[in-house]
Amino acid sequence: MAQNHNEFDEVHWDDYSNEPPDQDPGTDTNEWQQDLASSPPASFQSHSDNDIHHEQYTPQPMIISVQDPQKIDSSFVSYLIKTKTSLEAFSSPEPKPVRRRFQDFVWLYDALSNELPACIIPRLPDKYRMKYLKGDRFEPDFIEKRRIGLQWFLDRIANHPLLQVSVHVRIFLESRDFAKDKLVPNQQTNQLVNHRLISSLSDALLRTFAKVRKPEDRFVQMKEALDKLQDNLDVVDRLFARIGKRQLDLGDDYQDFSTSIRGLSVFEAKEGTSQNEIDLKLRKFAETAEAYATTLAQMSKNENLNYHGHIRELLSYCQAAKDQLKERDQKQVDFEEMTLYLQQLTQDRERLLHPGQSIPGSSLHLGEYVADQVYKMKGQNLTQTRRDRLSCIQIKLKELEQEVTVANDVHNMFSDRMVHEYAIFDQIRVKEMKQNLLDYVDRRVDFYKQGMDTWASVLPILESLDDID
Amino acid sequence: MTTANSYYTPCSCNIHRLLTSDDSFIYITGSQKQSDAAGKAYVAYNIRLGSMESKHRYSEFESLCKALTKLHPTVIVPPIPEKHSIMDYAALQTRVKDDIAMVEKRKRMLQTFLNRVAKHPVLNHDHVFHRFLESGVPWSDVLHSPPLSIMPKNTMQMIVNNDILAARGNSNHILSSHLIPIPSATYILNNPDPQFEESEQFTYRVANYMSNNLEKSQRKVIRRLELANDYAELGAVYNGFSLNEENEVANAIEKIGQAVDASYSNMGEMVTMLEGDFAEPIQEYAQFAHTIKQVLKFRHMKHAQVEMIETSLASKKEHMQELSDMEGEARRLEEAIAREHTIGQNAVNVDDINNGTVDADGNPISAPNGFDPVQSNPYARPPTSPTTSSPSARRASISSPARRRSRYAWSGPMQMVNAVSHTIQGLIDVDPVATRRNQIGKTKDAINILEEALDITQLDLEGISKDVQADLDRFQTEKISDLKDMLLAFAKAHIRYCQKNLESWQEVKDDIDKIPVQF
Repeated sequence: MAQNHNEFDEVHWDDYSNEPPDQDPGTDTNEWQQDLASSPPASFQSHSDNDIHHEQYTPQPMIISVQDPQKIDSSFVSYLIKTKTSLEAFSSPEPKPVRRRFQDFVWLYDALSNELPACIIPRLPDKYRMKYLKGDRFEPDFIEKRRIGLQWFLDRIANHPLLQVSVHVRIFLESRDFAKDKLVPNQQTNQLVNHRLISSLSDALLRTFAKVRKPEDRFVQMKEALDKLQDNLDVVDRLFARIGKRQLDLGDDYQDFSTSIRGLSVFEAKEGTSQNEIDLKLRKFAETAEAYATTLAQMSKNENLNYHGHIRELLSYCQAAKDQLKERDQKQVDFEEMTLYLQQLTQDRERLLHPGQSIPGSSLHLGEYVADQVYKMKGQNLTQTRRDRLSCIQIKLKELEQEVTVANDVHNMFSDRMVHEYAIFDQIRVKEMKQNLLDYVDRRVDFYKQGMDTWASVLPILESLDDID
Repeated sequence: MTTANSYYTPCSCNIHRLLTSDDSFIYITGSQKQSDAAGKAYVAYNIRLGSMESKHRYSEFESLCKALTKLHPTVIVPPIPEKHSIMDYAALQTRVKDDIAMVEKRKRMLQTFLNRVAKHPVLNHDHVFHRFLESGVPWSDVLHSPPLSIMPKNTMQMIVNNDILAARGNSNHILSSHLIPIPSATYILNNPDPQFEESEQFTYRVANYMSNNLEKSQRKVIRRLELANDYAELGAVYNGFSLNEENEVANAIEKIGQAVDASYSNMGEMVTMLEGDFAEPIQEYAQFAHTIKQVLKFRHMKHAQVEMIETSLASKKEHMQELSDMEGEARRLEEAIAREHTIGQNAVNVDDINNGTVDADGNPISAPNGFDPVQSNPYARPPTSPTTSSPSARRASISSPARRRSRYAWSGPMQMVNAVSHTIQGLIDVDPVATRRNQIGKTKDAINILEEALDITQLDLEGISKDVQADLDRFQTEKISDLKDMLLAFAKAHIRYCQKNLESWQEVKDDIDKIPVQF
């Protein structure tokens, strides 16, 4: 009875207009279908792991920027959100900038998780580390960190072909009456996806504890790749924590050194009063050391904020991807468990229809057999009981068959979606890494250039240190 | 530099020639572990000047440094590396003797020491220094032969200025006389030289500053080798990272790993440069400050010595005056008696007057502490009582409040001791006149010695002051020149570091740019 999973490769999104009878058709679903219809359909037939069509993963142009944090009423911080996009659903290619606070981001995250449960939704900053618990929420360093994290969050949404077209995203980015617009009824766009098993069936399944029976290679590989990426990022993260601190300490040391030289210049001013302004030159040297210290501290701080910060955010994004893999696994588990149950019930029916015969491929359903014997002994009307039970099972079976179909659809939908999600995730993270590596290198290059200039500027002064007037 | 030291033996030895030749840089070419007679291990350093080679261990360098300091107290002798500095322990955290880095550091600093000595206009003529550099001359020989073997114990007993020595023949040991005071370190000058006072205070402050502040903070900068090690680790991490990526991303990350690796070696290089060209000179200058303190102290003490000799001379002269006064009195009275030819009731024993037992009018004076004053204490004076109105007594009592002071400065026990000794002396001494004459003679001799010593030390002090000032000036010039070299080295090390890193990071950019991005 378990349908071969491959047949569902033929299924297109549009088939979901066949609602399971018990569910309410909602306009929401239609809207979602429309949205999806407007984006390039997924074609599964030619699908293979190595042959990913890039245009499927290419988002429409969209650039969002998070800027200008402002303290509002001493109770929260608001950020200025600016959008530029060619998506037609928007009121204009450059809608008027809006202000949003962290809570609004939380709303967006929740809305997207509900709307697109098969997608990898990027995590909000500070979910990985509860930094806001320590110290002041309004401290500038913290606010900057958060702003950058929110920027990455929106960048990922902007670069994701499904997320970027979500109505919630549009509301977030351009709504001028956000408090009202966000109360649009919670878009249960995909009933299928949020489908919860009918309770009568769920108790027959040990849902939470089952593992995938037939793990698929491609998902196993995805998980391994994600694990490796996370491990690597983790090592870099920890090392950078150490390096960051040491670099800051080094900056302080240069500062101290500069102070000492200044002190020395005071002595020299006394001694060589007639001469060549040794004290002035020493002070120039001290200034140079100080300038270098400042540049170093600046570079270090930026590196920490941007590069190191990104490593941490990327780790969080990886975790989101892994969690999504687990979700997908869960759908497979649901399907497999339900299929098993279906098998069992079918065998039960067979036994009822053909009592006494051994059913190929079934284990003795002891309960049924004992019940039979008891009835026999009690001399009850076996046939009547059997008919009752039979009709009961028939009903169950019918329901179950539908459920299995749904579960299979969900499973397939999640799996197919996962392949895309993973590709999108990889694409986004490579783009991010490239940008961040470029910034990392640029920052260092600038620092060394400035360092060279700073120290070179003091050379002629030092050369003249022992000049006699 | 005005003159050389009185212990300076001019030589035209090989070494002197080498030092004045073109090839006059002294190298420490290597080091070896050796064992001494007792079997204990030590490190011997090989020294080469031109074609001359010699070998010495650290303790001999130390000994040389001490010898030069003693021979030339007006010269700022360059420092040798400290025996064991705490910083070395902390930074290296290894057994000091065996540590290669420690030996290398000593090599560098000892070499610098020898060359500073060789460049010094006074020290480079020193034959002891020459013999140190001579091959095959064991240091113990040098220690046990002149001039080191004949030097006076205390530098205050030395005559520094050679010209003085030449002018006075062999009066070298005059200052060793017990009459010549050696000032204590706490002596405060009555008439200090303002310029040197200022120099002393200044040097004191600089020495403090140097040792507390500068050395500490620049050491911290250099100790960031730890950061360099972190970079090495990061480079390895990036390499590992790249293995799990593909194609262009892998390549880019690998290249970043290489750039970070380069950072590590560049930083290591910078630290080494800074250690040799910057940190070590700073240590030297901290030590120099201490040496200068010592040189200034020597001059200060010489000045003190001059003052003390002056004081001593003045007091001796006063005493001389008293004695000759007494002599004069005695003669006049004798003459008077001779004229009178009578021993009248009023005649008194002149000597009793002189002894202070009878006043000028013949009235007995009681000794202040109840003993019978048999003989006089030359330093004692009859107490000024209103009754003594005779001119000589008055005159005697007016002069020398210092004398009175010195008399009353003798406390009770001293008076007793003196009285006792004089009593005993009186028992032995039959002829007070002869004693007095004797004392006059001795005092005259003492005055002569003191006068000569005063002459010598005053002249010497002039010379010393000039020499010290000159060496301070020379030092200041050298210091500025060294400071310039150090700071230049510091700046250049950083420029080089930044430049090399700049190059390696710039290269990486291309590889990152190559990463393909779909949108």
